[in-house]
Amino acid sequence: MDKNSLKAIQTSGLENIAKAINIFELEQARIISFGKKGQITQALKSLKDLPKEGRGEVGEKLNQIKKTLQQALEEKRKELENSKKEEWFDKTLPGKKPTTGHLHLTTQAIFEIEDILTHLGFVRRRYPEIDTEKHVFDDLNMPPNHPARDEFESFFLEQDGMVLTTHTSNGQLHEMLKGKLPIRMTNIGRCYRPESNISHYPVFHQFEGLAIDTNVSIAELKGTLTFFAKNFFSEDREIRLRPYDFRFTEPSFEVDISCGLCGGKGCKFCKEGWVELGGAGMVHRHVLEAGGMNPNKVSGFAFGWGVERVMLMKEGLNIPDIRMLWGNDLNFLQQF
Amino acid sequence: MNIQIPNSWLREFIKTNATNKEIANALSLCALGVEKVEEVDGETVYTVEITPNRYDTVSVIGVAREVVATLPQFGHKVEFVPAKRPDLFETSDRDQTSPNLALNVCIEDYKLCPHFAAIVLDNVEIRPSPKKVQKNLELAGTRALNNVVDATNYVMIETGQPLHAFDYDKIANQEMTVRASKKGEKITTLDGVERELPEGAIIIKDGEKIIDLCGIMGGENSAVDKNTTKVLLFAQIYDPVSLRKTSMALGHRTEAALRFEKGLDPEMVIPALHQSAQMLIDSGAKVASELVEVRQSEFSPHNVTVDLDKINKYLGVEITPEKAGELLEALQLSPHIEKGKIVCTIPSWRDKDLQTEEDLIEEIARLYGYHNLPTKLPSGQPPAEVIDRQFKIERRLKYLLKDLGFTEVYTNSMVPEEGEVKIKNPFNEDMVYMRTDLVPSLLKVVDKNKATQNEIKIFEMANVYTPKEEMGLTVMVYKKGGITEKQQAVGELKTILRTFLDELNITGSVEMEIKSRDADNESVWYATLNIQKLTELSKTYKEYKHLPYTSIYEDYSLMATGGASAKEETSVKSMRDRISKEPTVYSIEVGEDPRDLGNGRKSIFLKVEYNSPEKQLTEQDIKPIREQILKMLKSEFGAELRQ
Repeated sequence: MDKNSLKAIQTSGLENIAKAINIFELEQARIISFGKKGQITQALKSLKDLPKEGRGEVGEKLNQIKKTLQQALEEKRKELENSKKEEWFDKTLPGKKPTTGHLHLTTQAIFEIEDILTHLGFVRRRYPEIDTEKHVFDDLNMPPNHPARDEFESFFLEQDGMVLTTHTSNGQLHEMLKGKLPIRMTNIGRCYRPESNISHYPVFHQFEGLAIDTNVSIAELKGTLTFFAKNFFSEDREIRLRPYDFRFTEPSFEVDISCGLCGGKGCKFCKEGWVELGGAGMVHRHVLEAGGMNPNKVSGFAFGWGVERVMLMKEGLNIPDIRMLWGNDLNFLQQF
Repeated sequence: MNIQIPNSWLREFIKTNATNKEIANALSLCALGVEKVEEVDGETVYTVEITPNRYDTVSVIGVAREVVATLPQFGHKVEFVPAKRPDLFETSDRDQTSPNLALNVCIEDYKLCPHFAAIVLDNVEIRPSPKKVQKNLELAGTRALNNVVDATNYVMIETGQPLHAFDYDKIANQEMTVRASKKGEKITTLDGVERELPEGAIIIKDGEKIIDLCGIMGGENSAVDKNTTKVLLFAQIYDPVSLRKTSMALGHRTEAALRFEKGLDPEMVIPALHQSAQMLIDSGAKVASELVEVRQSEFSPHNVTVDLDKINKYLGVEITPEKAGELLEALQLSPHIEKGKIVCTIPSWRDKDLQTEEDLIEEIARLYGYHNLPTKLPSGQPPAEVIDRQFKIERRLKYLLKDLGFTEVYTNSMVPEEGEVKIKNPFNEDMVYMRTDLVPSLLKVVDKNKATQNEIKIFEMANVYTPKEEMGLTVMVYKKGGITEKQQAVGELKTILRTFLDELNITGSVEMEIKSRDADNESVWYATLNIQKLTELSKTYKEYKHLPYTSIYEDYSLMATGGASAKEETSVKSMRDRISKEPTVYSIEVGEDPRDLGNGRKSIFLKVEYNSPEKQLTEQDIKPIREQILKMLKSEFGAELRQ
């Protein structure tokens, strides 16, 4: 073993180490030098074959080379491990999504309705869900034998004379009995009717609109409902009033909205371009009187619509069954 | 209710070039909703929706009247073709060779039956009706049976007046007594069903038996059959209220009943009877009796007056008195324009419906066309109100919970759990009481969803009924897992509650209770708040406090062992009050684990905020105070730091 071959072991050893681009290659380099058949290993083994004289010198030289290579291996290992960390920064990874919660669809609809009506000066109210038959029926001009008071149309309570309100219209009486004018209010709350199917559930929400003043007209009802429809649905929609009959209004109207799907041309989801929205009318004189108002001095309009109903009419929502809104399946609620 | 009006039948009474679609349009916009215009067997049929007040339009001629009034509003010419109805006793059609058959009628209560009219026909041969009659009946949705029954149905559909035909020979003693039933009396109606009657049903009894459930269905024992030769044709008006009550009680809703319930035109009873008799005469029958009529009183029309100013006020646009009069005239309301008002004489078919000023305004407005009225926003002043803060606070809390990762749920107010308010006719056994607590409903939501979710954070803001209606908010955190997860869940709930107080600027002490439902590998933690109380406590802004130096917070976890070492019952309230007397203690939060740990032990946590306006406090400053507090807690409350 001469000086040159010893030098070569160091040189090639260092070269291999320097060339390694990852831990695997570094390990290969180490094996070439220090493996079972490695250069250093072999050289150390072959020491015993050397003549005694000069053996010590070669041995010492080999040890130096060994140290040099081992140091180089260590340094290179550290270098590779640090760069490994840098390579692992991946800016294309998506961020962690913060957990957002969800307001129920009905709440979203109620806030929207409230904001639209508040914009026109309607004050938000909350009136009783449990009320007297007087306020829910009699004061609204529905006499004792009226169909709405049948046992399968309303929930009656054990306490005599009390019912669960079937509509937010009882709020009209509570508001009028406050005795202040002008009146412009919206009562939004739960109502109850014994019916359950694809478009009904025994508990549901309605929003009532009531305006009473000295000169309230059908024209102003049209204006209010048009404003609502354009803001709640879309700007291009129109409403129309058709003759109808309710006990607590005179004249009474059925309100339609132009179909959002066909733009009013007529399709299988609408009636000749129109879809029913709900009822409305001028407050009946008997109702005004029951509320302590003088029908010869003031007039008013009123409308009472289903919150879930109008919400389900929004384009793109596509919820097929109203009962899903009460099913409380979190997978459903968390879609919105 | 909906009725089917065949187009060809309708056009017997109107002369116009308007198309079917134009007719449907005019009706829908100004009178009655036309649900459908369909082709049936090569003929057009309108399905018309009749509102409860328009009993006058439950008939072909009723609809025809409306077509005549509404078509001109759309620029179409139309003429009304009045029906040619015979008067059987004017023309001498009466065969003198026929026997003059008798009928003894007794009306026990005019209120139940204000008008009774009947006629007997002889020489009747039961056979099919003419093809045209059959076709019209089928198109109108009624089965054609035989000439006698068909004659009654045909006239009912055309005029609105129901009629019935009896086999005269089956009427014992030629006697008919109209009275109210007693409870338990029975009749087998001609559909073969035996019915036990409630009290107050209107019935007819002959010399022996009950032969008619008036207004609803005839008796089987007096029905016309293939051997009938003498027919008693009969038309009536009944009290709508008792009729509806009976019909509903028996669960038997017939075409006749639906018409009687709504009300009828008092002047159509006799003409309808004559028309029906004529149809039988046309097939060979002969009149065999006088016209038997019992009537409480003659019809006398009433007037309704409408103020011209009020018309304009309601419409929101000015229309001339002449225009208003023209529209009222089109509806045959005989308007008479006087100074500042219009007086109308209401015809018999609108007698019950048109009573008030507003009723007339409706007639004017609908013919004028709601689509022709202007559209404007309310021009009066909005109410000058102080806006209710509670709605604002509800909204803030909801958005806050949403932002903190909670999902809002809506559960039924009606529950199976007992409460103060009970429903007499519940929908099912799960909806019997109005709930006093939101928690059971929310726990059900958790249990329904926990199979697919490891963590559930929900809330509901809704009324509870105690029986007073109070707005409650229940917040619930569910987590699967053991101690670590339970700790996280209750911690999260506490954070929410603290955040509420902060957000609503509520200072001072507020008591809030956290409850739980605990199992080995899962737990649910919840708290309920009263929104009204929170609203009362909340402030728009916090008061500015001059705190130039930073606070130092310390948390203490204590175990109170009770027993003799406690002066009185360890109360976190008294503990808090006592500690807050110490110097530099700025605020304290105290909480107590409500579970019974046994042996009078209580687990209490304490969070103390130290602050001084004079200098920045350090550990040196706090150490003696802390020691003082701990000493006091041990001696006065028997509470020590846990290990």
